[in-house]
Amino acid sequence: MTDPRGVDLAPDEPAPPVAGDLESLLEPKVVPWRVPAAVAAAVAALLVIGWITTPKFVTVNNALIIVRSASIIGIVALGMTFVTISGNYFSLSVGETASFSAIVFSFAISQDWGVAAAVGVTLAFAFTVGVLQGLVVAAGANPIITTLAAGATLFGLAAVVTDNKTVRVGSDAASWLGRGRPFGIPNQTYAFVVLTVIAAVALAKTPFGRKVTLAGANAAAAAAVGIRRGTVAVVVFALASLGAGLAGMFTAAQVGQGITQQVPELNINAIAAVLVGGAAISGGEGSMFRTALGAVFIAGLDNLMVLRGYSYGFRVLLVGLAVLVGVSVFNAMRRRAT
Amino acid sequence: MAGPDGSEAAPLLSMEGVSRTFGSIRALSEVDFELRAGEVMALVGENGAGKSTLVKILVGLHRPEAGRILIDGREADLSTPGKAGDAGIAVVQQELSLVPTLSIAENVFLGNTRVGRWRTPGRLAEMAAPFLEMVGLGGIPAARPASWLKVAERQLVEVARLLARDARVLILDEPTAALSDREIARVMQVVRTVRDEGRSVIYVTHRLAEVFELADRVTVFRDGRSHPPTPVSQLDLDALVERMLGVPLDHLYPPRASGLGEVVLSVEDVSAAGLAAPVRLAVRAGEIVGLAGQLGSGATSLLQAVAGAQPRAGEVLVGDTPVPPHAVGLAVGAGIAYCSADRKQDGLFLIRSVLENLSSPSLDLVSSGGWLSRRAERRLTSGVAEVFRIDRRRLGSAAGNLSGGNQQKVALGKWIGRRPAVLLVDEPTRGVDVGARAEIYGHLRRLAEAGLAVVFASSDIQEVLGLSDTIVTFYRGRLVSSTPAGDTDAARVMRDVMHPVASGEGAA
Repeated sequence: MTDPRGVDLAPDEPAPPVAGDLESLLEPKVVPWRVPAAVAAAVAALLVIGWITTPKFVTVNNALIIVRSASIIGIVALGMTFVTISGNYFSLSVGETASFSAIVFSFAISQDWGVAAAVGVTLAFAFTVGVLQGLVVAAGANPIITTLAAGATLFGLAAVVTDNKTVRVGSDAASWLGRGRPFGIPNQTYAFVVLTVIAAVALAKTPFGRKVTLAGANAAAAAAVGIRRGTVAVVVFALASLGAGLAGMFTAAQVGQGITQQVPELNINAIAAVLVGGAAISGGEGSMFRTALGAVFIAGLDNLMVLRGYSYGFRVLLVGLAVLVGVSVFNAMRRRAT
Repeated sequence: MAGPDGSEAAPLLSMEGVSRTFGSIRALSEVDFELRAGEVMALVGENGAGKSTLVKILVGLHRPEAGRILIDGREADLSTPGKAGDAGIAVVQQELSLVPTLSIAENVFLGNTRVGRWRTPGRLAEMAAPFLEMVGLGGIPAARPASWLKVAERQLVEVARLLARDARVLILDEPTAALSDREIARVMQVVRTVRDEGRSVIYVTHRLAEVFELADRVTVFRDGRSHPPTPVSQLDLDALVERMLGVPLDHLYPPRASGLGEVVLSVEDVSAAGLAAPVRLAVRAGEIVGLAGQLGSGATSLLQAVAGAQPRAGEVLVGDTPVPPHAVGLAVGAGIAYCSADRKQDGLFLIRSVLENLSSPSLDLVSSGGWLSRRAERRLTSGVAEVFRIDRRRLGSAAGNLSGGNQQKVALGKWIGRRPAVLLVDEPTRGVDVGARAEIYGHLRRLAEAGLAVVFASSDIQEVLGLSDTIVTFYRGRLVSSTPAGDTDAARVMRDVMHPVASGEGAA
């Protein structure tokens, strides 16, 4: 028979001027410009306020401390951003996954498996945990409940296997990983910067990133064009979990031990970074660079409050408020734009 | 109950020189409008002509920047929805606004302060019964949740809600867009009843046949300005369409197929949920097949089954190649494209750009080696934009910001990038204005002439008659008849889809 696929599109005339590739990578046009501007303004305001009120805030040493803790939050928040953009809201198990990964890593080092094997085992563990959660979500379960339950399970399991004791690394083999500062900058930060770029490129420049975005923008329409939502869920939860695994590994290498509450507040801090970065909570829009700035903001805010001697409770309270304000402001901006 | 005596019918409501802009767009400029007591006033015009803005001003959602609004000759305050309600104005919106988890009766009285605070579900259902009766939902269990209703019935419940408000001015904004002919007849009957009680109705519609059937007068909007209200008896269809377009309309429908090729799509004894009997169908290259039927007739079910959007039994072949069932992705791969009736539900990514919408089914075609190619994506989408006359400068803006007609062009056009062999379209022009409608018909015909097999389902019989080469009628899950367009007429198609006589049964 004749080939029926003969519909002729426009001749291959030169495409109209393409908006700069860098521009498209940074911000697609569908986002009102105020969103990135507000994220940058929040970070700038924090710096200025800190500089005026607290002299110690803007020293090189303190900057490195902020950057290192921003890196831990940020690495997790990058994976979380994939989850949010894909329309699966958040993963509430990244804190527990990070702590468990810290325990796994510490144990592996203490058993003299070698650093490479320890990193491999830790990431394989985190990856598996993420894939399992993704499979449950892909089967139709609510992502919030699924990850909340997974978090509780991981926390309990960690307490059982460690008998609530600290697992000490017991050797210096891995300490470079957590404390090394090539050219004065912490290893964690190099990882954070590289991962931010990789995540941003994956989101904007690969078919996978586009599928994540489209699935979050309209799940039914995505299914209608043949995008498999379940696959997207498995991959985004695996990425979030991998980020948590890396974070756990870095902290274990830094402090030389792993415990069940290795990285407290990581869930809320990573979510806060994503939200302060202005990702659409219902999915379909978000940016890795804005999330990275959000992580810097959250880490900076926490650090400023520590320097000023605020109590733990008050610090958590202010982070919560920052999220509430951010969510309200961005919501208003998006609404006005349409 | 007319206002001050004098002229036979003093206006109940009038607007003088009302203007409203949104940013740089003049949505209404110095519009005059009047509505008499006890009349049905049709409001027509293309999308973006200003009808919706006028309705939103009347119900207190927008404020005019200039002009006066008079009710009973006195200046009226319609600055909030509450005040508009107090002034006796009530509206049924185009978008369904039932709360699915509340009971049907609760939805009838939603936001109605006269009903009182404490009512048992049973009492509320009793109170709702007369209003439901009026819209032809008499026997319905009103204590059930609204999610239990079919889409068309939900629309009717909205009309009942409006009746329960006891408003003097009822506004129906495209109440029939999602309804089948039988339900449209019900809505129209309700409108007539309400008018005969002396109330006034503003009836916004894209279906021009309804204007002549129902309205006393019609106000045409074009580019934010209004024509003076004209009695319907002084107009005919062509004059009305020309007034809406601002230019004479030669042909709403393109010419028929110039010649048919080989069979491209074979549907062999396909059965699925919603089909009472297996269906056979063959569609040739260059052919447009129109499936006529009311809501629930099986036409939509057939399209979905062929597209893999719902499970089926029986074979579907594209050319000689069987299409695996039960997976949209596989049907897409086999060359079948399916455009559903509800573009906002599963046809468009409203918050993403037009460009991303257009390339969404073709991500594999615009990427190589694991990377999206901006260049390939631009070429593919600007090709589609060219074919469907979508303004290329709008490729970067969010699909949700386009008009209904342009949205439909994107929802259809996104499939063309895949160069499918078969295009299935459910309700190709729902919520699309007359001008864009003619354009979409033209596009479908051009695609068919280029070798595509097109199958569309529609509850608009005029559309099926005007566009199809072959007309297939459906009634209650059965295929009734399949006829070349030249061998049938409106009356026959109407009879087949409403209540086919015995002669039709044999074909199924």
